[in-house]
This record gives sequence, structure tokens and C-alpha cells, in this order.
Amino acid sequence: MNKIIVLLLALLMFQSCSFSTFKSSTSNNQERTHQKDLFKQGYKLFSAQQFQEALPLFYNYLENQSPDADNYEWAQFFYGICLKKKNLHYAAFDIFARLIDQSPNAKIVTHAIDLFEHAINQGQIHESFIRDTSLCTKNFGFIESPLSHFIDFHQGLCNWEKGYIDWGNIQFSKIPESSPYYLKYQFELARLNIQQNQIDKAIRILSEILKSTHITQSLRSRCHRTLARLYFEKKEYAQADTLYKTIAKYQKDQSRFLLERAWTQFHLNHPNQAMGLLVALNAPDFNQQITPEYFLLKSLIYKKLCNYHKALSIVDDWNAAYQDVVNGIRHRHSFNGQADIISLLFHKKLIKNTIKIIQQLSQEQKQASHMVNETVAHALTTVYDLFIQRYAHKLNKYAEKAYVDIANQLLSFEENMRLMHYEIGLSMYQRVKQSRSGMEKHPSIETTFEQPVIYPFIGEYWNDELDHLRVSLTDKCQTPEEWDVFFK
Amino acid sequence: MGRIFQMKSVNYFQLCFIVFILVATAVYADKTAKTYTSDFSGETQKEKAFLKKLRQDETKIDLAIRNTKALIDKSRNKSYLPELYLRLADLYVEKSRVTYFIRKSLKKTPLSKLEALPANALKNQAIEIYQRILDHFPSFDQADKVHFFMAHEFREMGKIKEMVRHYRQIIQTYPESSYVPETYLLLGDHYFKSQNLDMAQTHYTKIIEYPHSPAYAISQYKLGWCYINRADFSSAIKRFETALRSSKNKQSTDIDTYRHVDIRLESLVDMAYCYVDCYKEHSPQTAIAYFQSYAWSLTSYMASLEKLAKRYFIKKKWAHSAAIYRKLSDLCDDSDKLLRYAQKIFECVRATHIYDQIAFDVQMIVKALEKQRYATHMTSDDKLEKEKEYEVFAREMITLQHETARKNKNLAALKKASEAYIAYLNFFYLSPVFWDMKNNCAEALFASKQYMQAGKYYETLYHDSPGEKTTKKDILFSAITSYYHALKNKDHLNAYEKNYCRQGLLATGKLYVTQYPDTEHVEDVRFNMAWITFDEGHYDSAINKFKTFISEYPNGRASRAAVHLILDAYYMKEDFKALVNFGNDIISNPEITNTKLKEEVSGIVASAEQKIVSSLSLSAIDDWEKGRAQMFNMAQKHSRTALGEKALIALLGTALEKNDLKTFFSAGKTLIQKYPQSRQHENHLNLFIQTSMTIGAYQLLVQYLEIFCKTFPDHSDTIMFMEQAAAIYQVLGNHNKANRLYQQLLSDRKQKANIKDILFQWVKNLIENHQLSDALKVLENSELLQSKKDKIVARAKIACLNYQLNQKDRAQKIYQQLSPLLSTQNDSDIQDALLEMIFYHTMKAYSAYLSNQMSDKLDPELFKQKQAQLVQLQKVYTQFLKYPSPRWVLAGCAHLYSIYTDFANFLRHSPAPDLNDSERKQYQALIDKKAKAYEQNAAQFKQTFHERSQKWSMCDPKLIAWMKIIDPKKTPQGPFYKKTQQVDDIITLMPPNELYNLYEKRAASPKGLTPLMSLAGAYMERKEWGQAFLLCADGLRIDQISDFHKSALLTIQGKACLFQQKDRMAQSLFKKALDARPENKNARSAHEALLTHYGYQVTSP
Repeated sequence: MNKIIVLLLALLMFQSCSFSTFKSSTSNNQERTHQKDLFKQGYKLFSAQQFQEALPLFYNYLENQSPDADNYEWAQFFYGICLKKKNLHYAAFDIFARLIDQSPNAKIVTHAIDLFEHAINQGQIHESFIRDTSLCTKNFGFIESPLSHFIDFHQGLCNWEKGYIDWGNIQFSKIPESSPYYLKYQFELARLNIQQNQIDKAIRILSEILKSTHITQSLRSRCHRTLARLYFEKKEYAQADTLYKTIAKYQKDQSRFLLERAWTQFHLNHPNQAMGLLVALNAPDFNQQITPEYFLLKSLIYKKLCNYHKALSIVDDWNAAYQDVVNGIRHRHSFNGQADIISLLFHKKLIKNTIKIIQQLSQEQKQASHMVNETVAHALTTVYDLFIQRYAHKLNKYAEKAYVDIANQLLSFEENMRLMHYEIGLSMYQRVKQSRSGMEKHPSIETTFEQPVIYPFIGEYWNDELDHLRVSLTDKCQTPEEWDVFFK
Repeated sequence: MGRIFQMKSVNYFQLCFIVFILVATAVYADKTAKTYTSDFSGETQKEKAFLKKLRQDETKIDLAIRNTKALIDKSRNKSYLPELYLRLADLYVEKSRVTYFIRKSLKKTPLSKLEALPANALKNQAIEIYQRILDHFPSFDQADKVHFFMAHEFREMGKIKEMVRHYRQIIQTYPESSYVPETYLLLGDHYFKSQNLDMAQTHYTKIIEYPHSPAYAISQYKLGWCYINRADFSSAIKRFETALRSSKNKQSTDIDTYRHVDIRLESLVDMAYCYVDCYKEHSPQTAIAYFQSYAWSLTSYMASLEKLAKRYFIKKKWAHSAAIYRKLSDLCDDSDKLLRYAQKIFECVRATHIYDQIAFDVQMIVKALEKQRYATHMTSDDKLEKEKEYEVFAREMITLQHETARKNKNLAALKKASEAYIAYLNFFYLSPVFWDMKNNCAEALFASKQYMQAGKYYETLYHDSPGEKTTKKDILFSAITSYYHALKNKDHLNAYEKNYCRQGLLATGKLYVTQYPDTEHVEDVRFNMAWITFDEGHYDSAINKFKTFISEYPNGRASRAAVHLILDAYYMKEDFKALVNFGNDIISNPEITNTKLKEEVSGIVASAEQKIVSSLSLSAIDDWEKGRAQMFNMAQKHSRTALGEKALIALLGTALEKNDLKTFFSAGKTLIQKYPQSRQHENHLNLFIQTSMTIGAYQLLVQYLEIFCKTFPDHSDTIMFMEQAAAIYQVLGNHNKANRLYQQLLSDRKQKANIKDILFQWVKNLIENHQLSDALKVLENSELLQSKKDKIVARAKIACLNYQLNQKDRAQKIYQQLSPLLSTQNDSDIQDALLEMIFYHTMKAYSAYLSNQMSDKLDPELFKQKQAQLVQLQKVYTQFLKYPSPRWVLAGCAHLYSIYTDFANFLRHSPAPDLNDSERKQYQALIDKKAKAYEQNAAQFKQTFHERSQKWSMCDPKLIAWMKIIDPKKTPQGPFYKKTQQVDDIITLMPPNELYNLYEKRAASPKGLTPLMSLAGAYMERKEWGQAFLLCADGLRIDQISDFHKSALLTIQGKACLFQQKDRMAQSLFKKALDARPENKNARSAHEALLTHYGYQVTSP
């Protein structure tokens, strides 16, 4: 009896299992059909350029399908496009990056790379993003020109960066001269020559680039500033100045180049013009752009013209501006709490770029959070969270390293300013010694120019004035001052 | 013109440009959207289109077959008939392909044999036609092609024997055919597949004869595989290398079978397969270099390395495999791959227990996991799972490596461990063993001498780790120690690091002292905190801290260092006064028992004092009056201290430099009197001796010489100085002082002293001073004399003195001994001395002779006696004339004159005997005659005396006595200058005020004659004859002196001698002066005056 009951139960169980299996199989089929429908619907909307509406459909499809499902990669791609259309660039390119890595389909990969190229050129994403893909380590032989030039350029760079110069050269050799990447490659070649200390060669290459008719404004600017710096290093100040003059008019980072140009003018023995450029840095638009170097140069100019009191006061200004920061460093305070040091950290290119990315990510995240479809909004917010964490982590690393560099520089700078203070004192003393040995009281010499344009600083500048901007400085080297008597 | 810092107004052209950009972007967006959809939809549509096209092709082929057949029918016996058949066969092959694809497209899966039957039937039809061509048209010029196609079709149908037969036919019948290389290749492939390696290899090898054929690279590749199958990896790798090189510029090949095969890449990857077995001894680095040399891109390089790493792994060459995987990790950015590589590395490392690349390995793991952590396509659970898995893996590797490094005390390995820990800690901050790992990391950092980092880690551990206070004590102390060690080698630290370590040490030290005040390390910690303050350059603060430290641990381990650092701090501050005060406090601190330390401090204090004084000296250079006053004040303020002494010494130096002799001697006097115990006393005295000598202050010079001799009786220079002092006193006329020094020199039996000169000069002084007994005593020490001659002279002098003192017996005894020597000794000194002795010996007889005079009554006995005496005296005095001593010749003459005169007088005045007148007359005449004879003799000797004395013109006071005998009225009463010199015995140690000016001039120009003459003149005016004499002597030593000056100086010297009653020397000097310059009127008049004084006739020059 018992056996019968057991058998019955077992039969019942089998039946129920069979039934449920059947039921499940049926519902799976329905689900599969539903998913396929999702894609179709999404695709339909996508084709009609209704990206906003297509987005949740693709999202749902991707969430519920395995990667080997029909059209999965296309769904990914379309989803990415929809995101891009919604200006959610980083979320979109995260997907494109994955598609490049997975290489599911030559067409998709080609489109993804093409999108990357366009986005980079448009400044929608940072150039470094492409390097997070497997672009450098994969063979994209199926991609034809001109897009292949983009790949060749980046792969060439990767090879150079990893130290495989010859392979890089092979890669770069595939870029024809007509390609916009050819000039970029030439620029990188110049940089490589600089690294290898072949300065003259680098100068030749940069000069050639500048002769090109299809050079972009951005590349022209980079060439100009690199050339200017190279000429400066070679002490060919006149040529450097000509280039800085050009840069200062169109550069976003104008303050940096004003300072560099001021150094050039100083070395050209044009202290008035150098001072004019420095004074220009006090303009409100350059707020937070003044660096310790500014003070050093300013005091050097005053010292050169024997304006010793002013030179000393600049040293005091430096102290006033950075003493708190230096104290913070001395007491091993974290940079987080120090606004002044953070503003100095912003001068670092890596940090500046990373902050820009984080800002863009936050903006895009905010935009994503306002999406009508809550699920998609939530998913995208999570994606952006991860992005922000990733770049915040990078930022933290850069900042920690940069802080140590800056802290070290500031401590060394403090020492230099102390030395400057001492040297000014020494110059004052030497001047008195000279005066004892026959220096007579000469009238103060004011540097004059053929057509002097002297603008008293009133807190603002006109763009066109910069080239003529000179501050009226008196050369007091031949004029004893009141304090001289103290040394006598 | 717009403002630069405001947006400029946009002009028309710019607007157009922006619009253009916007439109272009929109176009780009639309275009791409369409492109994407068309690309996607194209996938399915293309399939349909493809099928449609296949069907159309099928129809077209059918039509073509029909047409071809029709044409064949119409072209029987035509020459091109075989070509038509060939075309027909090709059409059947084509139709077979189309049919196959149509069926496959419809089914969408591979076809079964049954389904493929129609396609195969068409192939058979084609084969039949090919065969027909061969059968019916044996001379057809494309027969090789027909065979090749037939073979191809047989292969597709699996009829291999037929295939082989036809390929062979090509090779045998058409060896020049272009199909031959490919035929060999396909046959080779056939044999290769059927494992007939010999045949395969034979066929592949044949292709070597066709290097320009597309089959060449493939055949090399296939040959490689043949060798692999024979396990001949060395030959295999060479084939692959050749294949790779020959396919370098051929991306694809015309050969159907290999159209989609990248022979170059395949060769490279298969080289990796062989390499492991081929080059078993190669290091991983060699392998890496090898593949880098053959690779042509990063992709190909990585592909080959992947294969290589796998092969090494399979072959259990763990170290090699790990090295290759590391290289791959370095090149790769893909997180999945990185993790996979890490896993492999871990397995290799675990197998070998070699953890030398631990830092890199962990960094790779972290790099991969970090990428995953922020990846958007992974779930959090997956990420966490991976992290957990690799955390254990990384931890195990690091701890094992750390353990080994610690055991072996391998610094480099410990450094790697620390790097691995840091990588681990930066990522796995949620690890359950995070704090343990951090502690290990700090230990590894410390052990690998990365002290600053170690300090940081220990500090964090102290503040943040969940531990007991007791454990934390050690951690905190470790932090302090780490910072301390970092600062010990601070040259390697930059400004930031130095500051960090200093502040770290101060902060942790403060905590330690507060939290654990009773522990043994507190003393060290407190010391180091003070040291840091010092190191930072905050000297005031450091001094205070060290002072507190010393007061608490006066005899502590670090007290000595603390004292020295305080001294250093003062030194750095150039606060030497404070340094001296502090040093003196330490020296006088009874609580500090370290005597060596006190000695060290004493030395430093002395040096500091020197610095103080030097600074005053420096300031004195600019302002002497002020500087001098400051130094004097300091000397007074710190009287009888080292500082006071140094101030005086500095004053001396500066005064000398400034030629301020008043200050110099004033400071010198104080220095000598107040610091007789000074270590520099000898130097000081030497300086004064030298300076006095240089300026010509001889009175002062002897004072300093005497002080020197008294202070340093055993100094090597003392005898010389005493002799010099005595000689100077002698010249200055201070015989008492000279004698005292002589006495000292002789009584102390100074071995180096010039005994003879001293003794005789002393005796001379005593005799001149009428101290005959004293002189006698001095000479009694004649045993000190070294030479026989000196001894004879001395004894003769003793005899003289004894005679003078009326001690005849003693004198006589000597006389008896020495007198015979006169005839035997030729030395003038001995002769002089002996003659003097004889003179004195005779003196009594002479006196007795003179006193023997007749009374009123003639006494024949007396006469006889007198006569005998005369004979005796005559004998003695005549003897004097034999010797070349002017003095004794004159003495002899004078005394002979005296005795003859006296005897003549004696005869004349002797009472006559009782005689008659004539007898009396006769007697008187006889007496007169006799007397006259004696008088003549006397006159002769007087004449001789006059002649000789005039000839010699000796202005010697000693001759006056003889002169008086000859001519008492014309005889000078004494020396030229009658007054004796007043000798000043007061010790002043200072030159006279009125002479400073002259001394300073002389000091400024020690070889100048004008200041010398001025000073000599001043000395003469001051009646300091001796000083004038010595000064002139100094002047005469100047090289290349002119005759004028020489004569002038000699004149002054002569005059000085005159005033000192040294007439004979004066005479000599005047003579020399005149010799040098006969026109010297001063010398001449003085010389003439002197000669006149002595009664000599002055002859014109």
C-alpha cells in the first residue's frame, strides 16, 4: 500500500513538474518573443529618431537578454547612440568602448571608433577615454581610411609610449600627408625629438607644421607654445617673444603665456614691457591665475632697475600671499582644507582636465537622473556614479602627487625668496659701495620708446593693448636713495 | 574694440561659421543615424538579396550551360572545342557552388550528404567533361589546368586518390606549369593531413625551387609543422622564421585554401610554440627580445608572447612563464586579461617560491581590479567576489615574499615587499587584515630604509588602527625612529620631505612624551625633538630645549651631544659671547661629571673667544680708535680670563698691523704681567723680543729677554737669550746686570753657554769695577774652561789678582808653574796673560827697587841690592820687549825707562863715600858717567816709548799708567770722557713715550736708514750710548749700505764708545769711519780730539 501511495505521489510530482516545465517553457517563449518585440519597437523608434522613447526599450532588452542573443550587440550600439543623442556622452562612449573591446561586428566597431573620433574632435569626451579601450592592442585591419588614420595615430602613439618606436613609426607611416592626423603625428614626432633632446630637429618639424595650410587652430596653438618654449630654452628670446605674442591673443590659458612672455621680455632686457605683462595678470579675469613665479619675476625686475624698496615689497607680497599655504605645508596639513593650495593644484594640467571631466560627468548624471523612465534614470545614475568615483579616485591620486610637488616647490620657493631678499640687500650695499667710489647723483632714467604707450593700471585691459603695454619704471641704479646714507 | 575679458561681439562671419558648424553637426548626426539603421537592416536584407542573386546566377548559369552545349554541338572538329568543354565544366562547377549555397541559405545550417547530393552531381558532371577533354584532346595546351581543376573537384568531393592522381599528372607531365608549386603545396597538405610526414615534407620542400610563388611562404610554414611533428623544433623555428620573412609584404595569398590565413602571424605565433623547446637555455628576457625582433606591431607581439607564456606554463617553466606574463601585463590594459595573467603569475610564483617581482605582480592585480571596480558592465557582487579572490591571492604572495626577504635580510627584496604592500593597501582598504598589512608594510619600509614612508605608516597606524595603548607605544616610537633615521640622511630628502620628517618627529615625539612619560626612550625622544628644532634652523628654540634637556639629564647619554649642539647653535648664530657664557656654565657645572666633555667645551669656548676677538679686530681695521677701545675694555672686563687674554692678543696683532706701538707695548705689558701662565706666553715674549729688536729698543729687549729666561729656564733658546741679554747689558754699560747673567749662565753650568767669553768678560767687568776678590772667585771656576789655552790664561789672571790682593803665596805658586811657559807658548793671548802675570809678579820688586834709596849715609849693601834689583828688573822688562804686544812693549819701555832713570838718580844722589875732593871729583865723574849711561838708556827707552806709542797711537786708558812714568805732565788724567755712565735699572717694559714716534717710523721701515739715524740721534741725546751703539750696529748689518751711511753710523758708534770710556774702541770706529769716508768731519774731529787727549800728534790726512 505504502508503495502505491509513494508511486502515486511520485507520479503526481512528475506531472506537476512536467506541467510546470511546460508552463515555464511556454512563458519563456512568450518572454523571448516579448524581448524580440522590445528590440523591434526600440529599433522602430530609433529609426524614427525617437531616441528618448527608444532608450528604455533597448535598455530593457539588454538587461534581460544574454550577450549571445540576436541583435544584442546592435541593441547595445543603438542604446549607446540614444544616450549620445541625449548628450549623455560618457555613458554612451562607455558602451562604444565595450563594443570596441568585444569586437562583435566589424560594422559596429567601425561606427564606434568613428564616433569616438568625432566626439574627441568635438570635445565631447576627453581624448584619454579612447585609450581605456583596446584600441591599441587590437588589429582593426577591416577599417578603411580615413578612419584608419585615427587608429594608426593612436596605435602609433601607444607604441611610442610603450617604447616601441619602430612599430610606432610603422603605424604612423600609414597616415598620408593629406590626413589631419599627419600633422598631429608630426607634432608628436616633434615632442619625441624634444624628449630625445634633439631640439633643433623638433624646431624644424614644428616650423614645418605651422607652414601647413590645413592646420587646426588648436594644433597651431600647441605648436606655437612649444616652439616658443624651445626658443626660450635656447635663449633665442626675440623669436620666442614673437611666438608668445601670437599665443597670448587666442589662448584660453592666457595667463600662463603672459607670464612666460614676461620672462622672455625680461631676458630681452625690456623690464618695462615685462612688468606691463605682469601687471596685466592682476586683471580680474586672471583671478587665481597668479603663481609664485609671478612674484619672483616681479622682484627680479625691480631689482634689476634698482627699485630695491619695491623689490623687497614684492618679497613681502609673496610672503603675504603664500605664508598661510607654506605654514599649512609646514604643519603637514592636508591639502583638502586649504583653498589656496587647491587653487595652485588647479594649475596642473592633469588635475584641470580631470576636474573638467568630473564636472561634465556630474552634469550628465544630473541630466540622466531627470529621465522619464525611472529604471533607466536609476541605472544611468549608477553608471555615472561609478564614472565619478573612477575620476575622483584618479583626481585624488593626481592631487596627492601634485600636492607633494607643489609643497616642495613652495618650500624651495620660500628659500629662493629669502635669498632674493638677501640679494636685494646685497645689491643695495654694493650700490652704496659704488657710490662711494665715485657714483654721482644722476637724474633717474626712465626707459623710453619710440612711440611709448603707457597705460596706468586701473584694473582692466584691452586685448589690443597687451603688445604695447608697458609700465613706467624708473631705473634708479644711478640715483642714490635716502636709505643709502644708512650704509655710509 | 572689445574687452579681452568679456565676450567679444560676434561678427557676421563668425555667425555664419557657427551656423555652418551647427548644420554640419546636424547633418553628421542624421547621416550617422541613417547609416546605423541601414547597416543594421542591411544584415537581413543582404541575406535575402544574396539568395536572390544566387537564384539569378543559377538561371544565368543554366542559360550559359545551354548556350555552351549548343555551341559545342555546332563546333565539332573546331580547334577551340576543348576550350568550350572547359568552359562548360567550369559552368557546372559554378552551378554546383550556387546550388550548394542556395540550399545552405535556405536551411541556414550546414548541409547533410543527402542535401549536398545535387551539388555533387553537378561536380561529377564537370569532372566527366574535364575527363572528356583529356581523353579527346590530349594535345590541349591547358591540360595542366584541366588536371588541376579536376584534382580540386575530386578533393571537394572527398575522392582523394583521384585528386592525388591528377596532381601527380601535373607534376609529371607538365613540370613547367604555373600550377606546379601550388600542386606540390596541395599534395603536401594532403600527405600532412594523412600523417605521411615524409611525403608531405618532400612535397613542401619542392616548393623551395619556386621562391616567387605565393606557395613559398606557406610551404615554409607547413614545413615548420612537419618538423614540429618530428619534434625537431630547431628546424621548425627556422622554417617559421623564413615563412615570416617571406610573407612580410604579402598580406594575403592567391591560393584559395589559404586566402584567409595570415601566414606571417601564424608563423610568429608558432615560433613561440617551438621556441620553448628549441631554446631551452634562453632566459625570459632573451625570449622577449627575440619575439620583439620578429613582431611588427604591438598586436602581433602580444599574440606571440601569449603563446610563449602558455607554452612555458605547460612546460612548467614557471619562472619563464611568469616573466612573459608580466611582460604581457605591462603591455595590456584589458582588466580581464590582466586578471588572467595575474592568476597565471601567481601559479608560477607559488610553484617556484620566487617572489622577486612581487611589487609588479601586486601592482598588476591592483591595476586590473581597479579597472573592474569602476566598470559599468559588472555587478557589484561580481566585483566584490573578484576582489576578495585576488585579495587573498595578493596577500599570500606579499606575506610570503616579505617573510623570505626578512629572513635573508635582503634590502632590495624588502623594498619590493614594501612596494607590494603599498599597492595592496591603496586598493584593498576594506581588507579584514588591513591594519596587519599596514603594520607589515611599515616594517618593510623601515627595514628597506625608506624611513620617511615608514614614519608615515607608523603614524597612521598609531592614530587610526584599533590597537591597545601598550602596542601603540611601540608603534609611536617606531614612527619617531623612522623620522629620525630619515633625517639622519637628509641629503636624500627634498624640502618637502625634510619638513615632513621634522614635523612628524616633533608631533610624534610630543605625543610620546605626553602619553608615555616614564618609558626608557623618553630621554632620546626629547633629545631628538630638540635636535629637530636645531636641524630646522630654529636655534633659539633648540637652545632652550637642549638646555632644559641638559638640566634634566646632566649626565645622560645624549647630554654631550646636546651641549655640543647648543654650542653649534650659538656658533651658527655667531653669538660667541653667549657661547662663551654657556660653555663656562657647563665647565663650572658641578652636576656634569663628564670631564672629557668639559675639556671639549673648554676648547670650543677658547675658539669662540678667539672669534669674538677676531670680530673686534675686524671692526678695528675700519675704526681703529673705536676698535682699540673695545678691545681694551674687553681685556679689562675679562681681566685674568682667557677672553681677556685673547682680547689683548688681538690688540697686539692689530696694533702691530696699525703700527701703534704704544698700544702694542701697553697691551703687551698687561699681557706679560697678567697672564704669565698663558699657554701663549712664550709666543708673546718672542713677539715682544722680536718687535723690540726690530725697532731698536734694546733696553726693552733685554727686559723681555730676561723675563723669557726667567719664565722658561729650560727652554732651548734660554741660554742664547741670556747670552744675548748679557751682551746687550755689556754694551749698555750695565755690567752688574751683565755679570748677574754671567753668573747665572756659569752657575747653572749651562752646557751650551760660551763659557770662555762669559768667564773672561765677567772677570773683566769685575776687575774694572775693582771687585778683585770676586773676579778671583770667578776665575777659580776655570775648570769649566775647555781648552788648555783658556786655562793658562785664566790661571795667569788668577795669579795677577792674587798679586793685586797681596796673596803672594798663591800667586807665586801659579807663577812658578806658568812663567816657564812664556818661552814656549806662541799664542798671543797666553803671552799677554803671562806677561801681565809677570808684570804683577815684578810689581813688588819694582816698588821695592824704587823705594830702595840711599839715606844720607852711603850704604854699599843697599847699592849692591839696588844694583841686583836693577839687573833683575831690567831682565824682566827687557823680556817684555820681545813679544809683539804693544801694551806690554810700552809697559816694558816705560818701566825700563823708570828703572834706568831711577838708578841714574840713585847714583847721582847717593852720598859719596868719604873721599877727597879729587877722588870725589873722580868719583862724581865716574858716578855721573855711570848715571849718564843709565840716563841714556832711560832716554832711549823713553824715545822708544814715544816712537812706539805714537806709531800705535793707542787711545787706551790702560796705557795712561805707563804714560805717566814716561811723561807725567803730558799724560791724560783718564779716559776721554770723564763722567761714568748712569745705568737705569728700572724695569718698565715700555719704551719711553717721547721715542714712540721714532720707533713707529723704524717699525714701518726696518731697513730704512733715516729712521734709524733719527733714533740713534735721539739715543745719543738721551745719553743712552749703548742703545745708540747697538742700533748703529744693526744699521751696519744692512746689505749694500752706502759708505756715507756706514761712516756716519761708525762715527755715532765711536762717539757712543767715547762716552762709555771705551776710548780704544772709539778710536778704532773713528778710523773705520774715516776709512769708509775720509771726508767725514765728525769722525775726523772726534778722532783727532781723542788722539790729542792721549797726547799723540795728529797727522794731516
